[in-house]
Amino acid sequence: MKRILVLVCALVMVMAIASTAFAVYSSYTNKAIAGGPSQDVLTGTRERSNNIYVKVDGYENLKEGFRFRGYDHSTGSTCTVLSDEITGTGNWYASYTSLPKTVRVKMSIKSSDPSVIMKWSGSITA
Amino acid sequence: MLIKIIKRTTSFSLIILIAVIAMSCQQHSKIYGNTEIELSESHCIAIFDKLPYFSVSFDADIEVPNLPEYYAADVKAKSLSAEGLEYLIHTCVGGDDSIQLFKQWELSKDELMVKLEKAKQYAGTEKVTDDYVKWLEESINNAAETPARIPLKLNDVPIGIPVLAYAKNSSNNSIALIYFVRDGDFLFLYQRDKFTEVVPESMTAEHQFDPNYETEAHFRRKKPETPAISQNEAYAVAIQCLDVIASDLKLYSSEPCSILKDSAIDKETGWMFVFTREAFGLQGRYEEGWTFVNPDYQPSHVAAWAPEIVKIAVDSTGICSLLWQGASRIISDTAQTVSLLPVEEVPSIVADTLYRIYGEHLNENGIGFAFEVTDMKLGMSLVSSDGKDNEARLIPSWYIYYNKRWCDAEEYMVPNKLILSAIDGNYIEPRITTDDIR
Repeated sequence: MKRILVLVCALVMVMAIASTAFAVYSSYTNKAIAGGPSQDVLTGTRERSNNIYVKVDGYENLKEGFRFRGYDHSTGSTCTVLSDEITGTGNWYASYTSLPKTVRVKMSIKSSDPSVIMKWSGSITA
Repeated sequence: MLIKIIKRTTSFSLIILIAVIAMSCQQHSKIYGNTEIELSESHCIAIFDKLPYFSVSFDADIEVPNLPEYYAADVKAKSLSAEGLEYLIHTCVGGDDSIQLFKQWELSKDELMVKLEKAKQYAGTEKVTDDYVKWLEESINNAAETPARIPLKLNDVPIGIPVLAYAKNSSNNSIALIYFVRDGDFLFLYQRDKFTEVVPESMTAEHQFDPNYETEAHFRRKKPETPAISQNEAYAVAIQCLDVIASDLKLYSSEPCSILKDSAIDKETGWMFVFTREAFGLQGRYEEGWTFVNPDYQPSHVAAWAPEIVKIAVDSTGICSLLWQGASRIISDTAQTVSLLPVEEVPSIVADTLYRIYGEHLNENGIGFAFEVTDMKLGMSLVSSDGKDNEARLIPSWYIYYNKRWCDAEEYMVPNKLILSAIDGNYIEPRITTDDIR
């Protein structure tokens, strides 16, 4: 009985580890982006129907002039509206204006100063 | 000894209780109490500016449908079966039985070359973006000798996840794009052509121009011009489609839209119609955009699933795109009359809520926001029922539309809105879902 229990536990653990290893989440944590040209911040295949999620964790030096927008990864056309300037830490969600398979989120930065930094996390999936 | 322990425990519990009450009072204490409000049936004027460098002013039109009673009701989520999807695909793509579905439809090298040649004629103009040309060149380099075109059967489609497919009608050569979820969250998108982009006029407002992404000429190219079809004719097409797909939503908004093909080489102006749920005389409101949630002051409720809308774009040849999401049905025997918060209490709740959400947002000069409320509209919102994945509740709610700017600046940011339960004034956020905040 004990052996069977141990075997079942081991099997459950293996399955749990395997499911985590093979899951493809288009999510990012503890990222930073500095001033400069418009830059890609996250790209991923959508696994749900609504809302891109970007969490702004903090800033260094300046906290203005960052704007997000989602794009179709292949053709480059837009799939969300352009966000307002991000003015504080917290969570930002965008509804989709079109539904491409793979989404690229770009950040547009007003400042070209590399010491201007925004820290963020985000996801395209559930 | 036992009495001592009981006394000590009671004293300790009392201290904890008082502390909790004090904290909760502090959390809900009003920042803006006795501000004078000038209120008529259709307009509100008020200024909340007692805090330095943060203000909320109202010069707002009020829209409240005159109803004898207001209701809240439970709703149940719908989903699309394989049969339901087949019906929608046939409705959009064409009525005959010869529609083929593909889970992969790649263009051949020759087809891509034709597109590239066409694009190159307009390279460097507002009709073609560099991204599009680059994508075509990469696609040609990677194209297989025989393009992958893998058929799809709806019954074999995995359940509950978004699936991208392509539909081909034997009577024409264009490949429609279909995006849907089978037996899960209600989602269906039809786009007449894979290379078509629909841009409503609201997405071409000046605040949507990003010089880091595109030139001003590219941005202007997207703006709708004079529609090639009258609004009435286009609406008749949209409403007929709504009838055929058996959706009971009501027109919420209409605006011209550009239908761009092959980057922006081909362009026609048509109409975009958005339909939302009306229940008990109040309608759901829907605008595209970004939503901010302060983790330290979260909404009391979010939506259980995506907002219920049908979006139809129509041009001179018919429907060029249809999006249907978040479909639900009202469980009629759960409808209950509800009392609404007096309107005169709403402005101070709005000012309080905006402060709690945005009060710590300061610009580089240490200055906060000036909010200018322009409209207060009573509508319906879908909010989650605790612990139930496929059930939610429709409640009357206030949609508070505002402009915002820094107190020391004149330039306005992108307009947005705040949503409150009209029953108790709680801050709610039906634009995001329980999935989003999990």
